[in-house]
Amino acid sequence: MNKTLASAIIAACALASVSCDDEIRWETGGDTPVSSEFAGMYILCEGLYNMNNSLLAYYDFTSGTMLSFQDPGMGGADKTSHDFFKMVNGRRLGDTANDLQRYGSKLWCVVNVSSQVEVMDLHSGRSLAQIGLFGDDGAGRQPRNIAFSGSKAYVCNFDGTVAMIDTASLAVERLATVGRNPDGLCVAAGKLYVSNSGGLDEANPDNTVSVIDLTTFTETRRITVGYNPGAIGADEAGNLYVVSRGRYDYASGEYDCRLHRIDTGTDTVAATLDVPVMNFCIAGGRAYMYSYGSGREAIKVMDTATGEIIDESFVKDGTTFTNAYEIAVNPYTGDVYVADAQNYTVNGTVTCFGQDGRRKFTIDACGINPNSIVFVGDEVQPGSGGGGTGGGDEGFFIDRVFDYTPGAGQFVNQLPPYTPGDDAAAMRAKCLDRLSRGQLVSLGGFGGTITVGMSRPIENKEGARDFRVLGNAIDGSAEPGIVMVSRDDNGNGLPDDEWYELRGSEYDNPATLRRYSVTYHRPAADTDPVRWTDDMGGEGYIERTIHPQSFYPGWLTADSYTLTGSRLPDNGIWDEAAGVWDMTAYAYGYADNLPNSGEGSCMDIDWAVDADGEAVRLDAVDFVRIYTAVNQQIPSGLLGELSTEVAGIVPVD
Amino acid sequence: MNRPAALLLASCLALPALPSEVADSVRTVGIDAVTVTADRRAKDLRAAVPTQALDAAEMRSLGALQLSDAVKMMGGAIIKDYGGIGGLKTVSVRSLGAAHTGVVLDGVPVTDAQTGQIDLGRFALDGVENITLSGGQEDGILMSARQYASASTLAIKTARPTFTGKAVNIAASVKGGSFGFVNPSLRLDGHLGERLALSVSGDYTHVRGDYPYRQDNGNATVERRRENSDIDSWHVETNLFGSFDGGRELTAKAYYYASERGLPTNILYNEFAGQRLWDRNFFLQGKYTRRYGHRWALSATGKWNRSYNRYYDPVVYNAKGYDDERYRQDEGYVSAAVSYRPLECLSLSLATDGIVNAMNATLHEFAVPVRYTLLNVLAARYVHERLTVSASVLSTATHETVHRGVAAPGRHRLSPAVSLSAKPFGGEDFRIRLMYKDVFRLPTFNDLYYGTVGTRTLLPEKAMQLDGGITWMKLPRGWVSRWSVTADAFYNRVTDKIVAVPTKNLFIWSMMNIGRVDVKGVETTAEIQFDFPGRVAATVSGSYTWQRALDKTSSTEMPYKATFNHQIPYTPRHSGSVRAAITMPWVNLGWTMVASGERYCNQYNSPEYRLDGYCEHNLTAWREFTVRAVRLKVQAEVLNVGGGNYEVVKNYPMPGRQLRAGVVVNY
Repeated sequence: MNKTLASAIIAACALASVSCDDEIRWETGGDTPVSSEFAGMYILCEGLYNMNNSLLAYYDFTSGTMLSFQDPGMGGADKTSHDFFKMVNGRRLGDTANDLQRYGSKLWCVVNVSSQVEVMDLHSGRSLAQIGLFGDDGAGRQPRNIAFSGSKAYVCNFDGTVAMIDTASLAVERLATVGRNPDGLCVAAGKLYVSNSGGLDEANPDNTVSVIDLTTFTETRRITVGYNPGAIGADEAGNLYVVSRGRYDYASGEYDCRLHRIDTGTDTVAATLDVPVMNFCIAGGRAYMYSYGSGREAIKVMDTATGEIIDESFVKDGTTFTNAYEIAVNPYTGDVYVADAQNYTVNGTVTCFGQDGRRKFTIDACGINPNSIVFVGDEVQPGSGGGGTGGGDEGFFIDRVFDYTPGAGQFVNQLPPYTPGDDAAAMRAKCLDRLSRGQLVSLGGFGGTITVGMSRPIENKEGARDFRVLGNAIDGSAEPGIVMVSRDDNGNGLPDDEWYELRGSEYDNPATLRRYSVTYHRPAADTDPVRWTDDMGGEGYIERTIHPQSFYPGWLTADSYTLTGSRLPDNGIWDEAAGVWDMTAYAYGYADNLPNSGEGSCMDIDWAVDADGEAVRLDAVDFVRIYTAVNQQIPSGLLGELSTEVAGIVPVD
Repeated sequence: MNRPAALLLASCLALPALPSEVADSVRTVGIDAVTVTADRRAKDLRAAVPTQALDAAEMRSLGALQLSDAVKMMGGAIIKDYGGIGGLKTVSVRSLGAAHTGVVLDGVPVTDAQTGQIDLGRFALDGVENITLSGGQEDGILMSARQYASASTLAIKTARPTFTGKAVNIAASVKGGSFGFVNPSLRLDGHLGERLALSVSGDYTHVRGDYPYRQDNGNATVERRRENSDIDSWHVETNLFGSFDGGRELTAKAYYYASERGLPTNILYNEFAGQRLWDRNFFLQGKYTRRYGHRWALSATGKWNRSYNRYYDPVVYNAKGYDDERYRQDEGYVSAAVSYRPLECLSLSLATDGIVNAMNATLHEFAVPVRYTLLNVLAARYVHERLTVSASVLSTATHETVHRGVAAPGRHRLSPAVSLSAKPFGGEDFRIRLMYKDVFRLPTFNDLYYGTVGTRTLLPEKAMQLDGGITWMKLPRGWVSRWSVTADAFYNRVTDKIVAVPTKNLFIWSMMNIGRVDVKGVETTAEIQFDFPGRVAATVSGSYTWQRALDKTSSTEMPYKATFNHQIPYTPRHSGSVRAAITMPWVNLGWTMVASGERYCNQYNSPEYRLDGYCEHNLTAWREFTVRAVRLKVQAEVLNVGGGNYEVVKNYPMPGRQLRAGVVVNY
């Protein structure tokens, strides 16, 4: 009897445990791309509602890995976590993080259900502030998306407000009232545009875009568009597009999407395009747009200037998506990245396409619902500690642009873009905006200049270099600019005090000319070269290149203008052997001369000399001026004139 | 519809002509509780379908307050508990999902056509005689067709009043405990003439529920309190019991339940919680049975149910500024069953149920569905000393109408079930049981019609169950007066599983029939009873379940990150419970432990979605005093003795250590 019983029990157990192995096919995480063109990317994964599982991952393109750590807070044996935010800050991001943007040296993350704006240091991911957005009743305002202009961040909240946050003090300064459930916002033509979705009223969605005057920070107008507007964005020329998703059709299970183009001059709808767009991003005058669904034609490319679809099917190699959730263009490479949310409940993926529409790689996003990607250049190296390029100083950034007068040049009116009607002040604001994002401002030909102020003075460290001027120099492509500094001796906050030149390696070069002036003359037609004359009887032209716009600053009313400074010897040399122009770098002490990552981009305040060439001792400086110090035209259709480009100033650690 | 309608007609016409005899009703007057338990256990073990039960005395030793507290002791049952007394509690048996567990109150199903699941937290255990969880239908054959329609059934039986030379019984109790728990109750039983007994009972529960918990968040871990976790509930019930000559039995119930509760949240960095939920439920039910001689019996059951929910969210950023949605459901239900015993060992039965469910809601363009269901079941049962075999086939036919839009199509399905229990070794109480059952659940009204989520073309979700096991009981002499063990291996398969899938974006989820789950497992229980000298007795019992509930959804549905072969969420591989009770002349003590292994809170089983296992201990002590005709029972409990906060459902922390004490006065 007992034997029978025992065998019965064994049989029963065996029946159940047959093939109880885990036959799970674990995903390996896809490809392991590396790149030398940029450092890495942040991927924000919003997680699922009420699960507190928003996650910020960082993919390091130098090592080809998603950064991870061992999180003691995790259950089970395998405690490997890819939550970069938790790795750095020891805590989680919160619930339903909706947006991630880079501005200056900071990374801003909007966490919707937690009702927080998390401000991080771009370089390290370290949290600088957690800005709670709550109403008087204690309920979260549900922040949704963020945009920036000058020294302010603007956050739209589902409660029908836009919060203005000072990017230096990180305090919420004001709230403006807009329509229902604002879902997207962007700055264009000096105004803030907010798409009011009204998405929480299924039966009666909103159908307007609010226009907010940034000086008064009040709503000045509502533009009627289609129902349930969402994604909104503008190109650098101020061409503004907004998606309206329409009413959800229960029968077909489809949205009825439209793309509206808004004229920012008249603030009216200029055109409505019947294209099924759910979301888009704009880069280089092109909008990359996707619609829901997984079809190969899911991504279209539109020329933002004309509103014409120039590529109905961007993806050329047959790659498909399950549920595209975000699209972004890598500013360092021009590659197009698409985040795929898969079935919205498992980890998503990020796929990279070249401009040729062919897939380069796919990686696991390491979180649920990847919705934002921020690319980081090699000026920043998260987690690299002291070896970085001075990114750890969150309190320091350019917060004022006092003057921007470029020499004529092929990037003038483009970096930053000039829109008819812009005056010098508008252009200064655009410069500040670009510098805050780490984007390039072009100073054009010889003498072209920019003068900036910083959130706090740059200290002169004993025996060490003090600050780094960021540009786009690489080996063989130096466009040196002279750096000048000034201290606010009279304390009025204006750069009207004495200026000192930083004595670079060519200061004593006999070929360097002091107090050299160049005058630029307005061309008869926008497409003509710009003639210049100098005070030594010389003359020449800023020759046309492939760039179509006028090379003469559009906002200057005078028909000619003169710029003065020290002129360094020409550094562009024809390399007979290689058959290329080599724009050689000088040894030290110039902007846009040596790569950002090395010591060559670092300046020492101890180099300061007065007008007579006497060294001066400054314990700190408040203002920095940079001007193009070479007057050379490269006779090649692509390279054009030598023009210094500036992308920012950061202190050296 | 024609065939089922004809069957209904035939069975109705056949009824009046039947002869009669009285069945022995389960009257437990004057029987020692231990004997009752032993008999009940023996009955459970004889059942061909896995059956577990707890009676009033056992539940007392558990310190159980809510039905869910008792069910979580049972093998194979996984309670999904959102924490606190007000938190939703549903039970999934052998990983089939909560919607496959039917709840039956005094022989009549309690249903919710809107959500398909019943909150076990709302049933108090005062006045409950026993609860039974059976893997298939109960073993009695004279049942309504609807009782065959669930994969597993949780039956609650209200205690029938007994009168020991008195005209009136009075039971009054009050309990109190941690986090503002107050629970007074009153029950009056009285005779209405010779044949009828009436029982009126009512209770009220208030819990503040603001228990502390730790919100884990690395170095920003904070101690928080569960805000907006209060509940107030009222429950009044009247039961009528009648026993008449000629084998006629009548029971009737009028039931009213009302509650208001807060819905707590656990969001990082945002403590605001303001959502409220009101529930009201009223029903009338009656059941009449009559036996005609030894061979024939019939029963008729009727019920009318209305339930009402209101959900209020004070802060919603829509045009109104808030959400205030109301949902109303009505159900009308009639059932007739007849059984015939042509041979001593063979019974046949036929039952026909008709159900009408209607729902309305203040939702935008709500469909306002009405569902008509006709159920017919034909069952046969062979009972012999050595062998019991049951077989049934259930026919389900539905028809739906809506006031707005398109109605879901009607469904018609046959659901077979076969079970067998054999006793191969003569005198040894050792049995082998086998079961096969194939049932389904209809999509709920939410599945079909809820806003953008609902999908009208949903198919029913099928659940096929296979079970094979043994039971063995011994009644030795000596200190060990009884022991029993059961071991079952089971295999379940859920196909056309109804799951919510986001489609267009995260805001638009739809219900789809894409899932398939295969469940295999082993469920064991054991119980041992000691009788010591000096009127000291003890019972120790335990259950252990191992199950692999694997997502077998085709990976073509999800090419990347396929969840094929991943354990379904909130299903531990290992779970179990132990309870021990010792009764002594001076005090009675109880200890329970419920343990669960690791689970995942996401369908993809990667480490970040893993939830730690947990183990909870409760201690109970009680004593009864008799002062003349008054019996006084004093009880004290320590719940979650270890005091740790654990989570059954992610982000819904359970309370830590709680104290509870109560006194019951019986006259």
